[in-house]
Amino acid sequence: MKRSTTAVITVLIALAFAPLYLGAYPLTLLGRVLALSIAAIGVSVVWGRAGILSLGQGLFFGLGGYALAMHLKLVATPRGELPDFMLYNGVEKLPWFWVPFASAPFTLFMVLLLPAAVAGLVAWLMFRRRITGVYVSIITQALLLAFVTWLNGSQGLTSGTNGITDYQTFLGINLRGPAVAHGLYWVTLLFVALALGGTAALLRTPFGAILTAIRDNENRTRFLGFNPAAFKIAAFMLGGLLAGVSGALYTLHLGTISPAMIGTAFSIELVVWVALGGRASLIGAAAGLVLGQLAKDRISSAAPDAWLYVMGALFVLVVLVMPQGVAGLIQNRRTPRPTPAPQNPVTREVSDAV
Amino acid sequence: MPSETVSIATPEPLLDVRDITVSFDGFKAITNLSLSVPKGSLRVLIGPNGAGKSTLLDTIIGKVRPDTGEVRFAGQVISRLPEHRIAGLGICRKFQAPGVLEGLSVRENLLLTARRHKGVLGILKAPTAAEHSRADELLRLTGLTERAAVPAALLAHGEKQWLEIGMVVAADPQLLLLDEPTAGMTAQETAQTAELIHTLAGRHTVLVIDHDMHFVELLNAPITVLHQGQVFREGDLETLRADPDVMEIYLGRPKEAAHAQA
Repeated sequence: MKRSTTAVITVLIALAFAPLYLGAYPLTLLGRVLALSIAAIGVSVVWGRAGILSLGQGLFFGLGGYALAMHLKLVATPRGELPDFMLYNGVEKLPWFWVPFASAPFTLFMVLLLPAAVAGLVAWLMFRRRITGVYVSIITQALLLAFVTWLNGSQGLTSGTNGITDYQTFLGINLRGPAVAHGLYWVTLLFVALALGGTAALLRTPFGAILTAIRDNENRTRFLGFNPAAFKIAAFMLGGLLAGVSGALYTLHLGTISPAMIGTAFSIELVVWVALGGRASLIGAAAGLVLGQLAKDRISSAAPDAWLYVMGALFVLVVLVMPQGVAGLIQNRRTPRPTPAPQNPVTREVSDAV
Repeated sequence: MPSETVSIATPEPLLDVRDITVSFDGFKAITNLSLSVPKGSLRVLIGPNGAGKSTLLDTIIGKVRPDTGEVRFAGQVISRLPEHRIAGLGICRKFQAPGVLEGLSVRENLLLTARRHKGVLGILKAPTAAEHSRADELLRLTGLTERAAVPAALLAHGEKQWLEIGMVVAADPQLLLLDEPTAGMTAQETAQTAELIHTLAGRHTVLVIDHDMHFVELLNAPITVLHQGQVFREGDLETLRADPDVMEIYLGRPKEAAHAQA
């Protein structure tokens, strides 16, 4: 435990100095990927710890991203005018849900609140009815699809398939300025550190133990006087919150957010990287996402057609050979006793769901 | 107060099962069963397979719901409460198959069950010193001190049984339901378990299911015999052993009689 904490801090410090030794493109790429790793940390809590496999994290990611993008778009629009895509679509008045996003504090608050609240509502509806396993995966996936379909279809409200794009300033800072690239990278890294540290601290309280207990034996936990639904809702909300923050940061990095960025492919890929890195380990999940995305960048630029096969093969490898991912392998080597985490249910869950 | 004199004359039962019927797809597992257990007492429940013993415990903890009738606990109707609320009132069950939390260490198992505040916010606080010392005490009591850091999944079967007994005691419930607590235990462990249950009775109300007649003898407590989902007899072990009807439901009718019946 202590050794791994030291290792993580060392890596974070090394990453903090990355602008000194990385070129412009690698740094941009690393920043984007680090932003995504926050969503992976959320998946690790929800799936690795609480045993809930959500295939719709793109929904919460998208809510965070769109909340911020709406604000940026309003800032980029001259006062008294409508955002360009609304004009093209014949919208005459700013839709009601756009209006409060003119305020930066409101937007920042909504980036946190909106994904967490929607995640809480979805979780409440599912876990109150004791829906578990593959049904949760199907429902979350379906909700994501519904959201993406709505975004695509609401050209005038959300800019549809094009997504919300073409904005330059946030909190008065020009996002395209050369110095801002470093600043944004550091801000992202700070959020990664906060997400890792905060989540690890939370899981060290008995809350973490309860999540493990529910994952392994929900009924037993219930008959010991704990309400599993309440804890699962809390975990799901945390996962949604982290996905939302991740989405907002990613939007800042890319300067755009569109339905294609948050859809099924994105949500499943997120789960694949977390599985590869080690879903039960926050660091494993984050590292799996970062390294996986970097590999994707390399391989897909060298051989675009091969990428999907590589990812599929990796996923099969994880399911068959190392259900606890790379982090699980490392942990097993360090402590020679078998891991207590349930191996069979994991394999079953994954193969059922995909 | 006059009510006090009344309660001394006829003590309010802690557990009062009133005329419950439980059925699964038309099959009646329990039929019009009533049972009351006074506060602080020890009660043993025996009966052949399929008599409805485990179903009765399932009904008390809310795992299954009675079709008719109600379960009262300390005067309150509990048969419609959610399971965790029933547990929260102070009813804890040791399951037949050991129900330990496998991904957690032995110590964490005890610490979690010892917690008073079981809500989402209450759980964020670190365990109190009292909860830690309670866990230590139970580790000693169950002989698992050496194994405290081991994940519960890696315990031997007998150790899991002990751990779960430790857990239900850690929860400090008013009513303890023990479903075959000595299954898979050696004779010596069985004797230790009987001793432990004697120390628990009085402070807790204990309802034990077991098949092992030696163990039942050691418990030396009033016995309720269930048969075909109903209370068949109540009494002490000597009386029941002398009862030909009880022998019959356990061993079957003599051959001729069975033929005659058929």
